Amino acid sequence: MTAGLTELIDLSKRVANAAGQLARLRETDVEIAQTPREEIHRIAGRTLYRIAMDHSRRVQTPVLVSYAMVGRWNVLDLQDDRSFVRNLVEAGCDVYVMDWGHPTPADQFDDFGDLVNSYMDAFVDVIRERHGIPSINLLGICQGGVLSLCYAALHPDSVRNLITVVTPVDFHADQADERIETGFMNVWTRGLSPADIDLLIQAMGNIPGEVGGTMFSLMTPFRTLTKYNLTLIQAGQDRDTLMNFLRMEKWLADRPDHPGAAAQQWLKELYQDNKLFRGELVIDGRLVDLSAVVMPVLNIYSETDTIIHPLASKAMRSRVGSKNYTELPVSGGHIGILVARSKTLGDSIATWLAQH
Amino acid sequence: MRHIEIAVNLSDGLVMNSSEDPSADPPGDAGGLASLTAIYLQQTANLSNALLDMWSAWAQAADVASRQRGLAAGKSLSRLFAPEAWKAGEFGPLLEELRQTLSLPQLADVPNLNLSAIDTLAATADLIALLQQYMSISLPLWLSATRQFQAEITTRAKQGNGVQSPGEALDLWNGIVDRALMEFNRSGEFAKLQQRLLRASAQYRLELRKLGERGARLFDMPTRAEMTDVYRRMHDMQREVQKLRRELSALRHSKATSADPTQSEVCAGES
Repeated sequence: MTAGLTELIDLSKRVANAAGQLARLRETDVEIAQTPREEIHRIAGRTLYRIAMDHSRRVQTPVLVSYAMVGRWNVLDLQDDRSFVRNLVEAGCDVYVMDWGHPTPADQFDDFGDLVNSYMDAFVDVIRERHGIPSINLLGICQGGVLSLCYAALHPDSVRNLITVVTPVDFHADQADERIETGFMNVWTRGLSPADIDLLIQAMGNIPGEVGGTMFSLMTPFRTLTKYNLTLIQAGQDRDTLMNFLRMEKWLADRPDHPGAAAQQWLKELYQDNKLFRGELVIDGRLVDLSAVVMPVLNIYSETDTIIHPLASKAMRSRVGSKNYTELPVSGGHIGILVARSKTLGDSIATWLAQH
Repeated sequence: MRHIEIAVNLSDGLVMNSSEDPSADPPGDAGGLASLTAIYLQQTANLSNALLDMWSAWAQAADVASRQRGLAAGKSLSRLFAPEAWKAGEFGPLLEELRQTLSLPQLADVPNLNLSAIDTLAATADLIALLQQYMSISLPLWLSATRQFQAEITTRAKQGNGVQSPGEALDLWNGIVDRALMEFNRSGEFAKLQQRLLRASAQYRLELRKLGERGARLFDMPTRAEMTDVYRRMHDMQREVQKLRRELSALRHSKATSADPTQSEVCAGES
């Protein structure tokens, strides 16, 4: 009884602490993507940035980072000591980042062809021209990894090295190794019919960012239920932890809509029909033949990723034509590996690039 | 004198011809009276037959309407008000059936009977019913989690390893709920309901859009469909521009290569 009361009093004190910390903060105090960058090129709301930090170069060929469209790229630069792009620069890379922006209804007909053959290709060309080089290093994360893989297959001459991070290739791999906490999106999408997805796109145009947010909430129901009570109280005990929490919240709140036509392909042709793995994906009338990916490939995945099953990533080995294929397992969550304080991931990538 | 000739043709109805006949019998004559009586009776019979025909036609129309529409509408309505339908949700197909049953061919100069409100109502009713169903499915989940929690508390107490503090109890409860929710979210029951909710939400949105478009037309504003058409055209034009840029770039590249092979690298970078 006494223990219970003590715990209750302690909880009350912790709630008061968290409330006090929150009361000191305003929206403008929470900033993300603070690493200096310059805008290099812009096409219809899509922007190419270069991380503008002076640092010694270990890797001479620039790296273009392509993040997923279901979230903003700025999670890669959450804060100074948790910045994937800053770590890459500090590890010796010249880093460019693609910002897919906030697609509007005017972008609803953008499909994989537009994303890969228009925007990505134009940005690659801009970097090649700036540096006077025939090919660049391409680093794709999650959905951005799939787009990068497609780009590398369709434009192999423009890619010197390909790095994929938590990138799905076999979208049905989760069925071979069912885990309750992994692959919810795969299960959910396969539960729909192609007509359901068509109806959704017809009704919405673009897939609203909130839909993506709901999906992620359903993947981790407990975390969602306890985020604004237990987690926030815990985070609110000191300013730094609270700021980490709030920066991540700021990133999560900024969910862009997903272009409808690309979402249709993403959900139907990849999640449902697994066409990339089966070698049947067609973009702009051209078959995406992964055996054409002959440049060196570094495939990074996490065994504890709850969004992309590790087997879905590792399936790349059996499909790409590269004779120089390396797998790098890392520990951490799907987003966690990108916002970790550790600089190991950036160092590993730079070291591999320096060798290739 | 006016002579009225009436021929009765049961199939074709009453046929009346009249002509002036100066040699006809004058009135008051017995034969003439009989003739007039016969004519009267004939006319009465004809009238009765015509009435019968008319009622028969109406009866047939009512019969057809009843068989073709009434029965179907009755069935639809009885299903619509059945508690099972409300429990199962998905009124869309049912109300579409009702709309089809009640619809008539369009006439060019007669205002069309607008039954689209049925669709909006259907979409709204569907969404509400499915949300209720979602609640009814998820509530037992919480009860189940509560039972599991109680069982775990009891088991631990029996093993002499009872929960010592509210914090420990909370951890236990969170673990049970987490697992229960994840299992539920991956279940076939949840997937089916999610699918139906997605369909109902999309249908509801499409119906709302139709309402909005009617309003937009009223105020002479562009509708969503018109804007979507503009976006499609813009997208097609952007692709065309991109294609032309590439062709131009390739032309420049080949021209530069033929003029000065060292220029090929520079031109290859143009987008």
